[in-house]
Amino acid sequence: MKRGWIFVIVAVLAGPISSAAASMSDRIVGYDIRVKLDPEGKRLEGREVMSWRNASDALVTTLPFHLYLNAFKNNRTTFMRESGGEHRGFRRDASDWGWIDIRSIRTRDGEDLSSSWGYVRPDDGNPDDETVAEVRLSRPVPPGETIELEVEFEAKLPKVFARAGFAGDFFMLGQWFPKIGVLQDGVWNCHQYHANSEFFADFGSFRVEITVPSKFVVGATGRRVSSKPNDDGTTTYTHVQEDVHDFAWAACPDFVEFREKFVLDSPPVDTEMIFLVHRSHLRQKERYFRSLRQGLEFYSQSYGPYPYETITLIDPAPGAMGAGGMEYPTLFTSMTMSYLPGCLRLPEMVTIHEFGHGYWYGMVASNEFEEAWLDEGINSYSEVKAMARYYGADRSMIDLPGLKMGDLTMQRLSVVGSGRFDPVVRKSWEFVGGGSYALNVYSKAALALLTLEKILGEEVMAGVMKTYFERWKFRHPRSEDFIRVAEEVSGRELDGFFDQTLRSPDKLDYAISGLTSEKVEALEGRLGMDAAAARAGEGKAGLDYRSEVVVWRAGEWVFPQEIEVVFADGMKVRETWDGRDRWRKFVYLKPVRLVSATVDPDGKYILDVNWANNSRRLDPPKAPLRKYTLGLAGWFQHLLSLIQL
Amino acid sequence: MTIGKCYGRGFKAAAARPVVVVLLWLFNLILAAVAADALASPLDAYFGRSLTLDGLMASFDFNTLQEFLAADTAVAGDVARAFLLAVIAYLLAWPFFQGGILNSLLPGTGRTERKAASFFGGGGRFYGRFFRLEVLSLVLWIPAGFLFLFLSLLLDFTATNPNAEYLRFLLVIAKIGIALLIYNVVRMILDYARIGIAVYDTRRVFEGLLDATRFVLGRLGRTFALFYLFALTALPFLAGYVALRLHFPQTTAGRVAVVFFLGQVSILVRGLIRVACQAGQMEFLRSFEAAQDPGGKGDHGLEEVENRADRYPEELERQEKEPNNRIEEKGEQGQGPADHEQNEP
Repeated sequence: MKRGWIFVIVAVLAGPISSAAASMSDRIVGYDIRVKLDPEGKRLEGREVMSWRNASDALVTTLPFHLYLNAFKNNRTTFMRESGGEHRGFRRDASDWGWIDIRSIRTRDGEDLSSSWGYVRPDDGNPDDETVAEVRLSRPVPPGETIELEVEFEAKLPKVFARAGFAGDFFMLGQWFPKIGVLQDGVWNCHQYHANSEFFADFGSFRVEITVPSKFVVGATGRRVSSKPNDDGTTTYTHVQEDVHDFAWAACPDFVEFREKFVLDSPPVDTEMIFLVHRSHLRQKERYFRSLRQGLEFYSQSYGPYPYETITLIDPAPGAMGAGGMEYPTLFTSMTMSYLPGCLRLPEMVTIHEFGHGYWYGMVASNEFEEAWLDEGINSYSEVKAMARYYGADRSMIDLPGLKMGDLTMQRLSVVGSGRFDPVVRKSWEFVGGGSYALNVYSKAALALLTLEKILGEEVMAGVMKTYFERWKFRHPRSEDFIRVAEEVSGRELDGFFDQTLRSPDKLDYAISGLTSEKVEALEGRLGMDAAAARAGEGKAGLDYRSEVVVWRAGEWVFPQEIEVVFADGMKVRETWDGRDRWRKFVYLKPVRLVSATVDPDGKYILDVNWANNSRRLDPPKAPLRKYTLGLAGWFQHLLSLIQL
Repeated sequence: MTIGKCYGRGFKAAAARPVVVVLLWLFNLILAAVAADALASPLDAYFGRSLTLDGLMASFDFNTLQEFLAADTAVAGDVARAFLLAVIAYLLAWPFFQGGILNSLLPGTGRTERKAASFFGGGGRFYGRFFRLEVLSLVLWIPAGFLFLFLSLLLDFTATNPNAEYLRFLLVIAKIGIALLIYNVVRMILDYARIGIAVYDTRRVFEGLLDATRFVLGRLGRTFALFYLFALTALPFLAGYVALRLHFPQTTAGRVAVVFFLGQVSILVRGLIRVACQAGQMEFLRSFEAAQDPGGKGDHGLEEVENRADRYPEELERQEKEPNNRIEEKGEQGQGPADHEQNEP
């Protein structure tokens, strides 16, 4: 008890010093929350003191709040209607609901604002949705002024299937407290909870006291400044963190906590990795440790040093996979199964990806509702590169004998076979469905950036990414901001690239559609006297070959192309084409036969949906196809023979 | 007779019937070729003239193959449908081949037993009965399904803690093991039913099924031991083939041919094991019939059929009316398929 108080005093003294010394963001908001978990009733009881600074130049008369646990309040909320009660393959428990009620809301002066509190539906007008509420102020907040509100709330947690909730005695608390929207360009940006969307909020400081029964192990955003046992068998943990825009925590008696320092010399990083691994997954813990180290190293070296003092990995309990694979500031959930073999790299990929969101979402806090590619796409691009670096490009996801698959292939697979419904940039809830949202904002955007890297070169692209991170960390960039940075660093005009890849639902596909090489025929019939000279450029009959290569723009997107043509004597000819017309024919008269032609011979266009048709040859070998046909027949034979014994 | 002896005699009998083994292999090859052919055309259309073919030859590039399947999703469906049709054709034809195998194993058919005529003759002769047996086997499959569900539920009770993830994983493995065990018991019963039907040339299929059920369940340990002895013999050949496909790089036409050839050897061996298994089970069944009939004079002769006249009177009557019936060509007493081979001129 005594030691706990000393700890609190030291922390209180240290807190303001550190926050005053190193302000990385503009800290629009401040939250001081006390919350108590009732694990039996699956309930939360909380009191929050929220401060908000008006950084605009206009008077503000209303404040909107996210009440995201109300997404689980009934079967007709916007989230339930859009998702059908299913998220990433996990279904909700039919008899279980979750909600958050505001008991009171008042100013620090004691003015009760409960009567001016009401739900609003800015996105779809759905009367059954109560995920956004608004309070009307009796006195407007002038520019530069800060308002403080005191909110008391009570929440019931749903059985987890979409990020937040409980499973047995595992609790994941994300989007759990009343959180104010973002005032941008004089307009509030505060969206309802949608099936295909994540979140958006302002940076600030958080101080959260979490009270749970003492048997629970707790992990939370930020650093722990105190841990105080109470007389009623509970313990209160206090966490603080500045320069973040959200706060999440998890609690479970079956967590086993591991801590490890991560130190990097260049760039300088010194952070504490905290792992809360569920007891049933302990055999998988090394995979978490290793991949988080890799994530810290890769992102710090590629974009900028990880600036926070802690990073916490939460391993959801068995049965709580719906909470897995989700990012929060300085904390994320990964996922694994106790029996998952090392050759299937799901926990590695999820750990690297979710840690990476600490950069693309956590620090570079783009609007996940409106331009989700800025966090998911950029992060998937980073993930593909990190996975390739640490596990090998062709086997980073699956590494079985005879069956290997890389992360890039996984990303391509969803794009190659996809329809053409949506562009990458679109409000998350306006995509035709969850599949279209995922393939566009994750995979297609990642492939676009990988293509851009090939066009600009790795070094220039690294400069683009570093500059973008450095310039926009702790701010809210938009797509235009990324494009401007890319143009500035590369010195190239890239609107054409981004207009197509981000704003058009179409595809990129160039092909060699025709290839011929025939001996020039001798002239037969009659010809005028003057024509002989004119025909000098048509080759020697019977000696020269007339070779034709037809390149076809099979997709809708237009990109300049290079074409490599190879002749029988080994000579290679490189051609260029602006790629605008539907097709372009190249004709050659040479004493040797044409062998093959390849469009995009350097493999720049990762976005090209069909790599096989990029090349064509006149005399293809038969052995490879025979190999595959015989191989398939062999597998069929053995499967059939299983029937007999 | 000991299990080991039945096992040995089974192989001896199978080795003496290469035509049967080759026919099984040929049938397997034809059906698999039809299924594989469904993939050959779209593969050719997609990769046929592309330089990416070189990459496919250099190594097994699953990434590229995946792209091919993703680009043309209809192909995956075509291949799956072709394979499903091949499986259905195989299942429909299998009673014919069972009849052929058993007929060629039965003594008393003279030299023809080694020849294709005996195989096809037996296939046609028993097809109707064996097909009926497959339909009637529902009386076993349905209770077997319930038994599996019951055992699964029992296992589930041992892992009610949702956090015991690894235990539940082990239980899934255990359930697969139980399912295989039950599946193989039913298959064994059907094997012995077919043998009984062929040996006694009876059309009373359902009674044959009941007899076989009593026989197998009455000596479950030994029938199982014999069955798994053959199954385990087949396992290394399958494992060897899989290892070969995974670890032997097929980077040249010659290497592709070697793998395909060794694959065919593996299929041939497994056909041989299937014939050996049937022969071994026949030996095993006969040894019990002989023990229950100490005064009997033969295993497949007229005398034995007479002893069974109380059970199969119609069959006996029919057989006596048919002068060319196989049972008039008596085998030597106490001899099974393997012994019979030895005594042939």
